[in-house]
Amino acid sequence: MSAAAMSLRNGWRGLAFIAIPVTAIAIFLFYPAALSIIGTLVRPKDGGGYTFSLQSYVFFFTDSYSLTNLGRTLWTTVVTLILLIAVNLPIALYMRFTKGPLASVIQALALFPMFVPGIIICYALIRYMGPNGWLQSLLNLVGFHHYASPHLTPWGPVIGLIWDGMPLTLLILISGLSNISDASIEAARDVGAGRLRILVSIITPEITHSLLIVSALNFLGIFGQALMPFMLGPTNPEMMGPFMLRTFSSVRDPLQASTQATITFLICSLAGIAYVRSISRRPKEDRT
Amino acid sequence: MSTLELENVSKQFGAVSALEPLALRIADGELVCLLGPSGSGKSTLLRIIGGFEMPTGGKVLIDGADVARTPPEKRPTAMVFQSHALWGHMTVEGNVGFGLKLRGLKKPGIAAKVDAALSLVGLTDYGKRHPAQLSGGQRQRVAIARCLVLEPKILLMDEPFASLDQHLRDRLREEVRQIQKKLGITTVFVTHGQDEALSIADRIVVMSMGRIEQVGTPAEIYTHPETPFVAGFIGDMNMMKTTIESGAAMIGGVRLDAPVADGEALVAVRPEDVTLIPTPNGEGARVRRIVNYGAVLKIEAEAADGAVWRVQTLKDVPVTEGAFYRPTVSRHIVFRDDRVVHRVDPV
Amino acid sequence: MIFLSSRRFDFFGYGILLFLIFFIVLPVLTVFLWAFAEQWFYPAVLPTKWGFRFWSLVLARPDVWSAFATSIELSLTVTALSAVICLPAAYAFARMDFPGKSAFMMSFLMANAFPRFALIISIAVLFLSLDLVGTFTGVVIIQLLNTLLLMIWLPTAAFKAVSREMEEAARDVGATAWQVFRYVTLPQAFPTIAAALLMTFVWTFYETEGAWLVGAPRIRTMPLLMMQMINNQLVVQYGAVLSVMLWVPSLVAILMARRVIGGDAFAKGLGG
Repeated sequence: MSAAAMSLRNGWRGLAFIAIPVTAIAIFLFYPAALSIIGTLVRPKDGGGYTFSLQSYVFFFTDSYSLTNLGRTLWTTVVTLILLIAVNLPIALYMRFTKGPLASVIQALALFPMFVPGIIICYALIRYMGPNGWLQSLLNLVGFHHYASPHLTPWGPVIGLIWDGMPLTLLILISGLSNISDASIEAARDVGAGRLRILVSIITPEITHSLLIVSALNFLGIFGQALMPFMLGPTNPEMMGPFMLRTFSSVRDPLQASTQATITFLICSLAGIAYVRSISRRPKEDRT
Repeated sequence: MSTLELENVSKQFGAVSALEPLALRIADGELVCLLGPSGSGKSTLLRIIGGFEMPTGGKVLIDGADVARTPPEKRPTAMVFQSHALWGHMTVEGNVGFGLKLRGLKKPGIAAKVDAALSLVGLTDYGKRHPAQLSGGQRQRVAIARCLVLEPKILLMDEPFASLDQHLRDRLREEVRQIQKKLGITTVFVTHGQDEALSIADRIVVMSMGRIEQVGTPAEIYTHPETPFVAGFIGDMNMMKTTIESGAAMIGGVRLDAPVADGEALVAVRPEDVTLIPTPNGEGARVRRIVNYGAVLKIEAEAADGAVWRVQTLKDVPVTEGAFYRPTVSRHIVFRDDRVVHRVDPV
Repeated sequence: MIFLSSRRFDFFGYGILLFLIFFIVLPVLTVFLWAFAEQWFYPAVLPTKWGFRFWSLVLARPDVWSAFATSIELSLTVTALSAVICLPAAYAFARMDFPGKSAFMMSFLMANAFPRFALIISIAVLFLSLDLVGTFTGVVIIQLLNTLLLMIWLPTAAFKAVSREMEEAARDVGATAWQVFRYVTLPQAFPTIAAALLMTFVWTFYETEGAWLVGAPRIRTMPLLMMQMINNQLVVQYGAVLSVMLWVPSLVAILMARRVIGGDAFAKGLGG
């Protein structure tokens, strides 16, 4: 057997090994996504045949309820994203530049939500911050009586989504910060740079990639969430997740659900493209 | 009791030629070093002998049987890897006995052979440990025992001591040489260290850019290099470009015999073959620098024509920086077109 | 401490700690308090009556047991299928050369670039026409898709980490390609693979949205039952007891898995 024939045989074996998962992804992810997009545009005509129609989109964009839901989703996404970064960046910085027991405790606590399934998070948050929840009891104890529960307000899902998104955001930010060597910061201090200067000139440029990934992933994650908004958020207006769920299961209108999904796809494709572009630009070595 | 012959072995990686067709014959019980800079093809050649690379063409004959297309597990060769490549999830005994287990030996038989192999490398009591609990040198000994226990016809070693410190490397090299002699096992040893090759090998194969430059005993390789590459790669050498006129070359104030046609040539002289004789009145070469290496002195002397002689003398020879000396040369080699055209040895 | 080198930043650290306690520890603690409360009237700071009464009540409910059985069956099926499908693919990605390798790897990562629930909706629409909605098979498929990425990327990294020389050394002493895999590659990669399997199992067990949309109401998994109990608010403690009962063992399991994998691997795998 020649070396060329051998590598050819290896090539076929490799393709055979990945055939099933690739097919599964193609059949159950890309195909339905394409199908639902096409299905919303091409409708069966009365008396056979198919016709191109934008009717379902016209409905969506003229229906004030649908539009309010979309607006609510965008609001929640942006607010959650900003808060996630505002909360996690300081923690990540602290963890990158501090060692010791306190940092370990903070790390353990901040990554803890990773081990809590979404449904338990919802339950815990309802019992904790809901009306007459434990937080309210504790606040009463210290004499604070004006607690307004965020549960079932637009802030409910925001809090739940921050809980949910915290570990991953933190891990990616820390991983980005770990690329900055101690030496480069010491060198900057050596030439007299203050803390703010170091943050702006040395740290920020190094973690723009991580910030981009974090933003893209969280954007997709928040937009594609149904559980948290359903459990913690208000029902009118509601976020796209529960809206799609209700349209599909309760209203039993798969066409309109597909239209909502397609619009979600389109809006998220911005984040999706940003994500795919930034990971494909990384050096091949660590893209496993 | 085995011989190894390579006939026309070549290797291409895509369009890149890693090995030009080459031939080599290794006698029974011989220890041969493949020596060359990185990228010279020495490791590729070793991996072809071991079966980890298929040669693009040619034959690999062990005791006359061609194994060029035989996978490594069916070859009577055993390899010691640079990174020792011990299996971390097995004990030392497990590592050494794994090959025997695959061959279907019974447990008592395996235990006896493993013990014998471990005692051979001086690790009798280490059988129950894991590789992570051993030092670098001990790991490499286990790797050697793992090979020897299978009683291979050919032992292959791929820079086995490269990751060890100098002292340990010297000791292990000596031990390997003793074991190899005792067992009489035919061995191919890859290294990029000339000291290692010179001190351990029966014969050295010097390689460069996928070609064999020279095959010979350490003494031959050192004193009679056949190509400028070998001359420059092994040991220190004064390599000087010169023009030959009427059977001699004039370099750095020295007249060197070269009874060949007039024209460009390359002259090679070992620093220890140059002697400095003091001159009274600023004639000859001026000593620019003296570096003391304890047993020897390394000297740089600049001749009137700008040529610089590197000279090595014993420590007791009196030399002064800045003083003038007349260099004399007792042995030199003249190269032309990458081949030796004349050689002068001391009488 | 080089960047944050003053006592101000110790206060900063305690500030973070305080935030995390209020934001993360106390909500989780609430669940535990409720699980052991027999009576807890607002505004008491602690349960007014402690006890295990609701544990026996929860354990006596047949719907709990049937949901538990469904979830276990589902998780086992998905984990086993995922392993069978993904491990060879992971090995191929780590060790073989074939045309289009990086493009295929990218296509797996691209699954991350879709909003999850919108995907689930489009899959559910497809399943509607295939009559897979409300079936065990349908739920298995949708859960399987969730696990593919994890089960390919972690074992790929594990296989890649096995040194080539170790495998060659095994070939050298007489192991066939299969024996090399069986005795060297697999044992070396095993801890990470085991961790990936464990995580797949736990994630599948708690996956809610896919099971909800495709499985409900006929296939009722544990999270769906918990959701129902939370929404109906009949007895607060049911949800708490279920949470503690199911989640503590899985927490221990995942903490074990994390020891093997390390946080950086998660971040790296997602492009951090």
